[in-house]
Amino acid sequence: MPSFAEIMSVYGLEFGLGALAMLLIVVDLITGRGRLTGPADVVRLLALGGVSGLLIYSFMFLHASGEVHAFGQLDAFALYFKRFFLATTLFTLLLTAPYEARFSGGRAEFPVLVLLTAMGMCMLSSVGDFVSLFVGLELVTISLFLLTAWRPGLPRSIEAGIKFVIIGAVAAAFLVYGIAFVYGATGALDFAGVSAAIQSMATMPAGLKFGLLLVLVGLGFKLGAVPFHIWIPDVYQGAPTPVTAFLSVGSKAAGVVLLMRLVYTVLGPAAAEWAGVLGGLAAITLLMGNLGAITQTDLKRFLGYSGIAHAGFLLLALAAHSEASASSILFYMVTYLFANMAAFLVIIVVSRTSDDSHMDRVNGLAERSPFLAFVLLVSMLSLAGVPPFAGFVAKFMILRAAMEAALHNPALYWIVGLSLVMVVVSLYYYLCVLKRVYFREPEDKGVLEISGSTKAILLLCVIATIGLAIFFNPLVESANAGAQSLMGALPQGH
Amino acid sequence: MLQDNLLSLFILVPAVATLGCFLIPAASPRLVKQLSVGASLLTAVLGVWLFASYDQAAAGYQFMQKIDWVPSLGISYQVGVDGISVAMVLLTCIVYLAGALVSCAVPKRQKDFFILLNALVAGVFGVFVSLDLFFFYFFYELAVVPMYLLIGYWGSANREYASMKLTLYLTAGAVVALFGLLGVYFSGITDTPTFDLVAIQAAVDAGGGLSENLQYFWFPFLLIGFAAIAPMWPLHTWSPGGHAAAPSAASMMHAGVLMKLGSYAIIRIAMPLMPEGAVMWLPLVAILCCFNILYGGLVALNQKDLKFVIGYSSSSHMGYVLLGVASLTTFGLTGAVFLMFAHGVMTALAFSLIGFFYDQTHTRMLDDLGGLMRKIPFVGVCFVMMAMASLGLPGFANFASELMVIVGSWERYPIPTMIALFGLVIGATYLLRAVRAVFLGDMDPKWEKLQDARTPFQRAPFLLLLGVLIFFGCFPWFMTDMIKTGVEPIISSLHVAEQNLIDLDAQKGM
Repeated sequence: MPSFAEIMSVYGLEFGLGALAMLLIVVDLITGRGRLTGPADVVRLLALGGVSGLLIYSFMFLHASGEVHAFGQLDAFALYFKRFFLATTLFTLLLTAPYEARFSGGRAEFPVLVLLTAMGMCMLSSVGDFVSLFVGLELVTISLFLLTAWRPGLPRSIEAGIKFVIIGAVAAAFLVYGIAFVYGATGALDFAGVSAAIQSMATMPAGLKFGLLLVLVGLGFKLGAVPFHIWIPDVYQGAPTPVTAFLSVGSKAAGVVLLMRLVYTVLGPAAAEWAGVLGGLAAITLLMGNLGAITQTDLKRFLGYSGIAHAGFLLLALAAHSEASASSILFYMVTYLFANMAAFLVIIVVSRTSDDSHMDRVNGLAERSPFLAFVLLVSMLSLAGVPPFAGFVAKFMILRAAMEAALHNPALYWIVGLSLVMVVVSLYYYLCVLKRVYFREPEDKGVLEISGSTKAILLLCVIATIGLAIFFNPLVESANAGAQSLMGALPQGH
Repeated sequence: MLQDNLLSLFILVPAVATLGCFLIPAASPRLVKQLSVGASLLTAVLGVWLFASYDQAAAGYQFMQKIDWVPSLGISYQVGVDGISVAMVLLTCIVYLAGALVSCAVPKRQKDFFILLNALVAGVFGVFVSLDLFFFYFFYELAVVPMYLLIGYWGSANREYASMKLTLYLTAGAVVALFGLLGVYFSGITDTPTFDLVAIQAAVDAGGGLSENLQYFWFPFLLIGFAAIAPMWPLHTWSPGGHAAAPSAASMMHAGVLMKLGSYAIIRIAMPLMPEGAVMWLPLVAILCCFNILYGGLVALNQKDLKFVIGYSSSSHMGYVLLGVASLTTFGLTGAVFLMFAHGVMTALAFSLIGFFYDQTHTRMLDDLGGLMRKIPFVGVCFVMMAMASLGLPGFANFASELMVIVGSWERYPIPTMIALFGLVIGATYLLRAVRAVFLGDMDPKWEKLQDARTPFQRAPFLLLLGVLIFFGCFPWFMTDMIKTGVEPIISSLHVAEQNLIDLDAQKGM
């Protein structure tokens, strides 16, 4: 039985987040529900302060350790992702501020659910067995169900919530069913045990393969990979925009973190056999996302499809299966965070009067607010992978890793080739957004005022996106450390 | 101190100017213009200094600077120039200066225009001085993408289509090249993969290059990828439309400098790293470039829009450059690089002149214009001189360089060379036709109000460009001696490669 101190050494941040969530509920109760704005502001400030505090704490006092406990571990990989999730949460809370006025109620509970989701996400980066994996995943998914349907007055929001619940439930069923098969074949539920069992086998029995495939596909739901990508466009469009941002970055990263654990640690050397499956999924996902994005006219749907396309890239890196590719995924996620958060914040600002995120809203944005136009330019070009923006370095790292892996697995050359074609396709649709921003006449000529705090957040995203494209060594180093700890986590038997 | 950082300054000055323009409020466009012209003037001074202080006797890469950037990925920031890059840097300085001066007439959103222009120039300089494949590619893409907004926002007819086509075409070329670059990177030339061009080059020179088969496989990726921007027929279709739609300064940068990136990349990366591949594939280029010359020339003959005439003439002239590149002789390749320089200056002059009167006439249709010489004699005379330079009149740099290309490639490719000679006749025809249609003949009374370039400030860019053309036309050896120092090692390695291939064939025959 692990001691409390041991558990805290791994899950300290999660306890912090949980305690913060409880505190918010209590504060909300004490400050009373009579007033409309007061408590929500207090709660939001507390949430922001608490998450920032935890983020700072994680940078200053938390250190990765090589110790692997039965219930999980805090290696460099987990720490990297915990920080990532905290940053995502912070951005989500920041994005909520300019959006909040649209909520009909539950303004104090909203941050509580965001914190609980974050708790689940952070937990997922450390988990060491399938049971806690499932618990963490459900914590994330169920909180997100609620957040998605947070605007009961908006039919689209409810629709999004229902779709999310149904497809999420199907994916969870796949996952549990898969876990059952894995347990049946290996007799273990912890990653180390499963991994040891797999390595002791000469060939994988069909049942195990089937089980792993189900787990893989079930996790693909979070990542937005084919075939569980279908929820993305509708849910992204219907959910409140801060939640969409949270989904697009946090939920995707939750899928990434689990898939990486699974592929690199659990499968270990056996992953080579799975490169074909992952590569195939990557190819289909790339095609679906990129070709789907071309015809979109709604900004949030559009970013949904673009997110699917990015999932394709991440799968390509997973298929490459090397330390370099793991490191490239870690790097990629951070660049994706800044670009996406900036884009969603711009959407919140431009659609604040009509609550509709049709692409016409950004027409002529350059006339109405050159700054917002520039932010969107940076964000779109970074997503497209154009220098001098961080997305370029991220794509470059993935392609580099994939080309290296292709030396041993020539089939990857084809997928790299496809992904390069898709880079050009994606540049087309990102430029189509910029075309509206810069070349079209605005429908509403009025100057778009933005608040100082919004400006500050956007500026931070822009500076980070450009800075990471030029001085990317520090982040590459820490991504390398994360990848190393992931690869180096040698499977230990019972 | 300055010596060590000189090349980085070429990137930093326009980059800082970009940042500066960004920080200056849009309400004071004057300051933006002053800053940008100042930056271009500064790079021009640096460019002349670089040209003067490059040690031709020592040759090789000079003014080297290396900073380990991301050791775990084999990326280092490394810059250095040889004779070829010095010529290209000087070209960029000249076109940047002229372009910045001309752009002061941009009518709207000057701030954004100069931000993009400066960013683009930083990218171009970066390509010409980088000796690391990662940064080379980084700057290459950086130079391509600002063009989208420059053309799309400030451009003329059909701008949205043209800008999208251009950007996608060039990016498609770039990703093909990237595939090739990564292929070469991982092909095991160096013990640990590195993007350091100098290290890879050293390994190749020491006999550690790729096998013939691999070179045969990888060379086309680099060739096609970079030839898209060169632009080699049949990948040229983005170029005339792009030139025509672009605003003056963008056309100048574009036809003057950007198009040279393609041939430069072939000369700098593809040929030295895969000499055998070059020997095997370049004859194909010699054939395709005939299409450039003839097709470009013949199409230019039938254009109604003056910018399209110059646009197609550019793709025709680039055919000569490619012929020189394919010639595999010191003389021919030197001529090709010299022609890149001369054509860059000439075509920048052409687009700046066209832009000057287009701003007033709002038409470039040959049928609508005519007799403008009476109203704008200064611009007219400059245009005639530009046409003379372009059609290869002795005394202009274009003549000397085209002659070198033709002499250099005669021995290896007699038929393409004859076609190229015939192309000169076509060139003379469409240029004289354009001069007649625009400046001679009867003038439509609606052009009575045209203003000539009167102030020294307006005249400066034209005089600068024309002066450079005449100077290097009369004293070509200033340029050719410089270029030759960079060309010689490449050609000698190609000759070795050619001999290797012959030996290999002989072995197979036995």
